[in-house]
Amino acid sequence: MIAARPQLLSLLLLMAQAAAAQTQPAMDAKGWNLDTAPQSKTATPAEPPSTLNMRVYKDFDGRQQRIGDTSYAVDVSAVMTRCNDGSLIITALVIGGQLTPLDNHCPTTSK
Amino acid sequence: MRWLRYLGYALGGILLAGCVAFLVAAWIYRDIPAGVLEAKYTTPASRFLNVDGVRIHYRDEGSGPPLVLIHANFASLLSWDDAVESLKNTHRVLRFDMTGHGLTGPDPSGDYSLERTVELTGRFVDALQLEHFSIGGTSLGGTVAMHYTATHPERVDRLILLSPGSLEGRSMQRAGRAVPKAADILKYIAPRALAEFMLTSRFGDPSRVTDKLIDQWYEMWMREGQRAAILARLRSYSSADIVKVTAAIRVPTLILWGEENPQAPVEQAAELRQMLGSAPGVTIITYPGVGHMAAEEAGPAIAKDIQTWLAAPTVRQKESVPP
Repeated sequence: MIAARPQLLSLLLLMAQAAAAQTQPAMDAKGWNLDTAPQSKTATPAEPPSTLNMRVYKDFDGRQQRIGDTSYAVDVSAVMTRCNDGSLIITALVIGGQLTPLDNHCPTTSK
Repeated sequence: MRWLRYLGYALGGILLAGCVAFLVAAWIYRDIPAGVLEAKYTTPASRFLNVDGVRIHYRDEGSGPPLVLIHANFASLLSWDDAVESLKNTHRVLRFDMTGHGLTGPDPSGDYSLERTVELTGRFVDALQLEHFSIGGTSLGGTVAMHYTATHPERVDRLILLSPGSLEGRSMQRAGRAVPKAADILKYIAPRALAEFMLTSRFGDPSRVTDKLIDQWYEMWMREGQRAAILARLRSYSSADIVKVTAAIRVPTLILWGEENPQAPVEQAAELRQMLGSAPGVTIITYPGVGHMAAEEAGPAIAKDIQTWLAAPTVRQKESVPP
């Protein structure tokens, strides 16, 4: 398993919060293409609950042949929480199998 | 030497009293005939299907794309009642009692291994002539669903895992736990309080456990031959090479998990997601305040998320590209 670098982790956290905040994807300072982040749209009840689900390639140096090579990949998924009030929010990321909580919580009225 | 005689009388008396107490308890906790339970728990949706010598009880409800649901260990197809109430509006929902559970009862072969359970699941869906379907399971049922999906990718459209038991099983194997011989007494004496304890310890909020649910669990356990079957399944349980199994899964997968789950902590969802590296899309949803028996505890919320996810087009995993 490949451990995500701290910079990558920060980036992914940023991306998740961006997705949670429903902002448009953008290019980050390190050159990672955030177009791979989901296209954020206004949430509707019928929207598929798959806001973030992607594969990021570590130490990507532009060599196309690494795409598809899982030995260079880190899978990233959002963990969504169905709050007691019915809302669905992103509360954590799974980055390479590690659960990384975000500072998103259900409304206080929820348990 | 008189005291020896008195001691013999005392020990004999204690032994006799013990035997009488055991017989009385065994009579109190005697099996419930299958016919009695079938009369109580079958509905117009109930069916029985003979599969490889096993009389499988299942329910067939609703119409639409087929969705097969598999319950947890110690439970029955009734676990899905709340979820099916809405799922049947959009899908043909098929749920069955595994051997040693519910109204299906014991397997005449005496084989309760995971391999046999997966094989029976396959024969069950074959008998129903389901060509393509989605499959979901909770706890042990999730393990069965994963194994079936890994070996039948051409049949399964989507996989739904609700606190699946494989990782829990792996931990148990690591810890080298085994069911003690003394547990055999449960074949003869099984108090209702045991069902109540198991349920309350598997709910995030124990106050949600109803007397009706405890009665369902307990009465199903008391079906003739069921307790021996439950013990046999526990003793033969092995999650097999779950890393290899999950790596072979290549269908979109929905992972649902109660956050208050001491039996299978929510962190296992992350471990499982990592193991599902070949799945073309993995969605994870957790439920605050919900425990291991999430189907029973949060059925309507889970059904809503399953319906939404099943209705969505397949979302393949996106990959980073160089800028």
